[in-house]
Amino acid sequence: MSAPAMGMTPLEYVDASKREREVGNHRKAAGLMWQATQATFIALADAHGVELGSVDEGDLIDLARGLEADGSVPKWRYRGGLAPGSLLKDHAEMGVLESYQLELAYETAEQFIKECLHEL
Amino acid sequence: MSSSRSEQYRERAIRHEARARNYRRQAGLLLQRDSDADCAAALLYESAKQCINAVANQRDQNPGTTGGKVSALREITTEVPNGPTLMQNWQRADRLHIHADRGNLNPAEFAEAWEQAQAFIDTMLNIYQRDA
Repeated sequence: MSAPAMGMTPLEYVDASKREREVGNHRKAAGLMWQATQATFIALADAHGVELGSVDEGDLIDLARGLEADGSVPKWRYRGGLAPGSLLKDHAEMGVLESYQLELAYETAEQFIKECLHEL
Repeated sequence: MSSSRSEQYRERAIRHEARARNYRRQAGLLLQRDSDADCAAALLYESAKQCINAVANQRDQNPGTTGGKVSALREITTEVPNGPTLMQNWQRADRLHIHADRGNLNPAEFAEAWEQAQAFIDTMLNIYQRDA
């Protein structure tokens, strides 16, 4: 089962994001947290035997919908998990988030990533 | 707290709930009737914020800034069984707000944000009704 390759594990991306946040590189940090989210979904696809064409957001939305479709997990379990990561993607690309939004997005993204990895 | 002050919170809660429903209805019309996705996104986000105001005022809080509203929402998420999901769905509403300004979402991303923002509003209005 092939999946898009990424350079680091989800938690390595999370740690890299934290290092960039500590030195104030918020747009780079946000991008790394989005990559952590992408890497998490690659791991989910692999664990569920689902082929993932790319890590573009559209493909991740489709994957999340598919994983929720059989009702084995609560609705929004994975689709909701994409939300903070995609906000951070927006910030990495456009620098659009205020500090309170960033803090919340980092927190909820990391929570989702760690919960998913714990399940696998 | 004096009864008049408590009454002020109650009256504000009622007004915010009514605005939340109206803004959502109008957002739907903008999207379906006028195909104005950017305007609809802005209004649906405002509906979501009014939901926070409504539920917060039920709890005798009147958050001012959007940051204050998010703080109020954090408290609310600790009181409901689907707290993390509620917060994630709020973040999708936040994304619609960005899109209204930047036009950055493609159709699939917009549809996802729209659906999750609607779910946020549904949940918050249910909380409001439960506690009314």
